[in-house]
Formats: sequence, C-alpha cells, structure tokens
Amino acid sequence: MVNMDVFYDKEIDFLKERILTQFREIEGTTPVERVTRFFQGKPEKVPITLVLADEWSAHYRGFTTREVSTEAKKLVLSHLNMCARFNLDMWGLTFPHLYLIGPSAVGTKLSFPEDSTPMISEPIVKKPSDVEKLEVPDMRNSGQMPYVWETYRIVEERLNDVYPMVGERTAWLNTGCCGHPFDFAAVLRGISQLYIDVKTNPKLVKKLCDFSADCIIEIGKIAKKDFGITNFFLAGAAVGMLSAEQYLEFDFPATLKIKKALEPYGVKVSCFIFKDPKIVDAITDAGMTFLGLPMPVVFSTTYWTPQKGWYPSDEDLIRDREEAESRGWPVFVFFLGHWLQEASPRRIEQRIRRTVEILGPSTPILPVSLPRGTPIENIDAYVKAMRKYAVSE
Amino acid sequence: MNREELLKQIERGILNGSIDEVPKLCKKALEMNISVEDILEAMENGMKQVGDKYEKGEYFVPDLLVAGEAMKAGFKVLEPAIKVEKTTFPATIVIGSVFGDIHDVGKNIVAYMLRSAGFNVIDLGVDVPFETFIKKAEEVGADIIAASAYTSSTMWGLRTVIEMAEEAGLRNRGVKIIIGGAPTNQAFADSIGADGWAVDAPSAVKLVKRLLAERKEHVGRN
Repeated sequence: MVNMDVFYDKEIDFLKERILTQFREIEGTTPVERVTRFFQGKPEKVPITLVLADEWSAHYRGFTTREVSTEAKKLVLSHLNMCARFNLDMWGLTFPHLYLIGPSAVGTKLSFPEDSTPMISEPIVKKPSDVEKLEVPDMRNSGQMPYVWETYRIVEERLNDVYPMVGERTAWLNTGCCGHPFDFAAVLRGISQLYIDVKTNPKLVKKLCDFSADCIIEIGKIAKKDFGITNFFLAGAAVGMLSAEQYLEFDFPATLKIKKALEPYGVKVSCFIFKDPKIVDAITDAGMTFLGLPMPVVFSTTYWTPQKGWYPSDEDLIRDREEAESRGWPVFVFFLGHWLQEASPRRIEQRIRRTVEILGPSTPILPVSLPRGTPIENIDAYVKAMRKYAVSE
Repeated sequence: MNREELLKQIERGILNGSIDEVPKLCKKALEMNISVEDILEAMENGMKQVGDKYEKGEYFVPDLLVAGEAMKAGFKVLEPAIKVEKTTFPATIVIGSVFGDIHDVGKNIVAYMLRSAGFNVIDLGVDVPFETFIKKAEEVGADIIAASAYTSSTMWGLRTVIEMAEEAGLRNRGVKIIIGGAPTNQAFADSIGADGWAVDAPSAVKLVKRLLAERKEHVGRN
C-alpha cells in the first residue's frame, strides 16, 4: 500500500526548491525579500498573489474541494502548486470555508460535498434561548480547528523561508482562519435568521457577537502561542451586508473586544475590507488595519457591489485615488476573479496597464475569489502584465 | 380607524418590518371587509418602498429580510381569503437555487418580493436539480424561470438550466429565464443567453414586469 503522505511531503520539498530556484533565476530575489522590500518602500516589483483561489488551486492540483477542506497537507500542496506555477510572491492561503471552521468547534454541523465548498448542515442556535447553553470550546481540538493548526504547522515548519506565516511583512490573508464576530455569529444562528434578528432581537445579536468574540480570542491566543503570529486577520462576508450603523452597533464592539484581548499578547487585529467611510474611520481610529496589512489603505473594489462589474471602472479608480490622496493612504485594487475568467489575455494586459496609469506603478492589483474555470493563460496574462507595469518606485 | 388609515398602516408595517403588527392589521382589514386585492396592494406599496430604499442605500439586507418576514406573516392571514377569492395572478414564476447551491437568502428575498408584487411564485428551494426547473415549469405552465447561484462554482449551473429549457422547447413557447446571485452580472447573463439579470429583489420584480409586458406586446403584435 502506497503511503501518499510520504509522496506529498516530497512534493512539498520539491515545490519549495522549485519556487526558490525560479525566483532566483527569473526574479532575482525571493518572495519574502520582495514583499519585505515593498513594504519598506524600496523599489521593487509589486508583490502579487491570487486571493481566495482555493477551488482553482485544488482543481489545478487534482484534488477535490472536499479534500482541501478537510486535509491540511492537500490544502497546502494545492496552494504551493499554484504559487510555483505563477511565481507568486505571497502566500494567498486561505481556507475554503474559513467562516465555518470556528463555529464547527462550537458544535455547528457541517457537510462536505465532494466538489463544492463545505456547507452548514444545521445552525446550532435554533431558538434564542439556545444562546445561554453556548460555551467557548477547546479551540485547539474541537471541530475543524485541528485542520487549521495542522495547516499552520506545515507552513511554519517547512515553508517559513519561502512563504512565512508569521509577521506583518507577509501577513496579508495568511493567518485568516475565521471571520468577523458577526460572521461567526451568522453561522451559529443561520445567516438569514441573524439578519432578521438584527431588526427583531438586537440583544440576541449582541450576545452572539460577544460570544463569537470570546471564541475568536481563543483562536488568536493559540495562533500566537503556537505559531507566533503578530497579526490576526478577520475575514468578512455577512458583515459586509450591514449598514454602517448596524455594523457599529453589533460587530464593532465585539471586534474591539478581540483587539483589546489580543493586544497584551503582541497581536494586532485587522479587519476585512469595508467601503463605508464611517466603518473605515471607526476601524482605523481604533488602530486597526485591513487584511493584515501593516498600514491602512483605500481599497478600489467592487467586492461588495459585483453588479457594477468585476473590475473597478476608471471613474471608480480615480475616485478612490482621490480618497487615498485625501487620507494619505495608498490604494490597493481588489478586483473580482470572475473578471480574469471572462476577459481575454489582451484585455487583461490593457486593463492592468490602464490601472497603473491611473493609480501609479506602486499599486497592488490583486484578484480575489478566483473561479475554478479561470483559464491558465488569463492568469499568466495578469502575472505578466503586473511584472511589466507594476514596479514600485 | 377608517379603511384608508388601516391600509396605510399595513403599508407602513411592511416598510418598518413589523412582523407582529402586519398580520394583526391584515386580520382587522379582513374583518372590515376590505378586499384582499386592496390589502395586497397596500403590502406591495410597502414592499416597493422597501425596494426603493434598498436601491438608494437607505435600507440594507436585514431591512429587506424583515420586511419579507412581515409580508409572509401578512400572507398567512390572507391566504384562506385568497383561496376563496381565487385571485388571478398575472404570471407564474418558478424559482430556485441551482443544483449544488444551498444559499437561499437572496433567492428567498426575490421570491418574497415577487409574491408581494402579486405573482404566483413556486419556490423549489435550494440545490434544485436542473431538470426539476424544467419539469416544474412545464407542469405549472410557468411564464418565467428564475434561477440563482451564489458561488462561482455553481453559477455555471445557470447555463445548464437555460440549455435544458431550450432543449425542452420552453423558450420557443415564450418562457423567459432570468438569473441572479452574487457572482453574476449582466455580462455573465448575456454570455449564457439569459433573458434577464437582476442585481437584487426590487430589480427582479421590475425585470419580471418588463419581460411580461414585452411578451404581451409581442403577442399583441402577432
């Protein structure tokens, strides 16, 4: 009987060497050096990665979505293959179902379809009184948390010199394994029910967000203790559909609680991207950033408004540039990966060039949420265009 | 409280998402012999304002959902009366999230709002096998199939629904297929040959009305 685990270990070693060799020969640097130089403001090609490309990378490597959602080594391997194929500077490693993992430790039942991201079988807080029964679980061993820690362990022990998990310089989405408290609560309660509770039972929503914060704090403490993380990133989905007032009433106090609890451990908390200036101001005024970045940035994105198109228009880019200038922050473009799937290589090259013309060559331009059907030649076109036009001064 | 005041309160109840209040008001309206159509119209007006506020960015998803819940609670009270009056709906819509997709928030909101606009909505739920859309549409003589997908991996199922509808000859018979869901947009809808795409529930209602009006006009011309 073949022990596939040994093969996978060898593949990780091979890919690591391949990435380092490719980088030395083609890029003349290493991914870590590039990212470090970029954040130090030194001239460098703008770092690139493919964010939320779990399904694409799984299929590229020949794994099912279920496999990478349950087996740490396969998740790491699939991302590593993608990084090697496109010479990516940053580890865009996320978990395909990162919103569900923490709540699974609390007891939320998940189902794992073979070729789709995991789903909630049943919310755990069926009636409001159920919230009283909730207890913060052992976040090291409960639910799917061991899968997270195993992923971290592989990266920490074997890939730290290529794509480190630790530290602000490369944090980005690396350490993201759970969502904002509201997202955590939405899984516990059921997403649509929690939205209804926002209007009909605000006390329950606050209680759930507060409980979620306690769970997230435990995750953050373990991530610090075992892996030395210095930046704890909270992803966002359901939370992005709230008004600024609702966000500030329900999620923000719980997020602040996490920040205060992790601060003494030397861990900074960073939030997901938000567009509403009231939310952006509240987060940055409290000393937090976004996406694990070392500084606050203005995001030019249609992430929350895909109906406007998958790539920000010229008008959007110009408006966001003006906002960035007024705030004294840089701009990051976060375009939806569906655009890479649909556009032609020629169009991709033109659009990246135009974006650089508008925002300047130091601007990170990153695809987020890459559909699994995205043609390789389109990703190549994106990488090529970025290497050609996006060079920080 | 007179008739007009009561209907206005129902409208406001929907606008404010008063889940407890709306059914009570509907009951009172029936007791006052106000017709179901008039009550529905008041509810629809409320829902229309909810949609307008959502479009303007004054309302958010929780506001939409709670208005939908209030609508549902009102419907429950009206349902027996609707059956008695045999209210004729302007069209039948078969709606569902495509195979492999279990997301129902957006789809439910669209279904609520279509119902509130007076359409006969048959909600197939989530994770709906492609052929079920087609079979159900044939069975009930649907005017529109509304299919939704929330993830980039399931969105291609929307194309399958369209292809199967074509294969079954539904499109030749004038059945329109509209799509929606987070990863979709107008360009995607055009690329897979959908008859329409809507960004949110209020736009879905507008789209359905437009498509039906166009179809009527087309039939009228022929």
